[in-house]
Amino acid sequence: MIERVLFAMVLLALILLGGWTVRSWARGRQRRVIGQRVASGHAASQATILYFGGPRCHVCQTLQTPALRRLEQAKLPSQPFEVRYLDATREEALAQQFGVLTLPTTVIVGADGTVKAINNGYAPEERLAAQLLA
Amino acid sequence: MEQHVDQTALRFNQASIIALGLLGFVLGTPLGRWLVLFTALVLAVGTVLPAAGLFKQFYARALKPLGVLRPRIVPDEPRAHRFAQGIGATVLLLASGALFVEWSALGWALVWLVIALAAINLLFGFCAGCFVYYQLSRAGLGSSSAK
Repeated sequence: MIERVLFAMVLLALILLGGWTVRSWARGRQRRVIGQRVASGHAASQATILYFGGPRCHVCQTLQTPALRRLEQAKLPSQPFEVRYLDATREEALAQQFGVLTLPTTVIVGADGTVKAINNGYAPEERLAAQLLA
Repeated sequence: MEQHVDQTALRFNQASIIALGLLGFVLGTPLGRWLVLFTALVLAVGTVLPAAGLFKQFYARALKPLGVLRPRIVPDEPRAHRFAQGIGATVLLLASGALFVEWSALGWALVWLVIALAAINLLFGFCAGCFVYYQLSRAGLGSSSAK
């Protein structure tokens, strides 16, 4: 039994190490993008949420889209914004530019055109609002 | 209509799957396969009848009232989590089947797959299904990828 305990501990440590490594790598990719200016195409003095989704993305449809709708309805008077949906399976170059690894991914672009934050995976409206106001 | 999910209950569910899977592995196949089967059946029942899930019941009737764990209710989609639980139940049922016919390597590999995915979701909030879907789409194997 001792051998199995040790084996289990090693496997669990490898799983956690692997998860941490992938997360660090993904965040590293994102840090290279944050602060960069994106191509023009959004209105001045208005922030943009680039919402990368997919037609068969269940989490996009059931969680992220409703969260973005709630955020739009709540409005942020001090920081007007728009949400721009992008099909990541078709906009691959753009998805690569922002280091999209999974869906949904939301990219917060400030009114000055610089990338402020990237969320890989579902991001609740509270987090998105905080990132818009930061 | 906006739905809500208790995130603490979800995380307790995931932690229970990991703990029982690990305990089963440590105990070895003769005893552990029964634990794997038990876990699979608990998940299967919880998928079909959410209110009857044993882990959820233990959390709601014991841990929450005693203040051991505090609920964290957030807007969420319960069906997505039931789907993931159903996948876990299916894989663990297959694993227990393999263990009972003495295909131990396959059985424990499947158990460890469930442990790994549950641990990654519990600790890093990572949705493996979402990741696989997008990567398959990029590889041209998705339903609507365009190159």
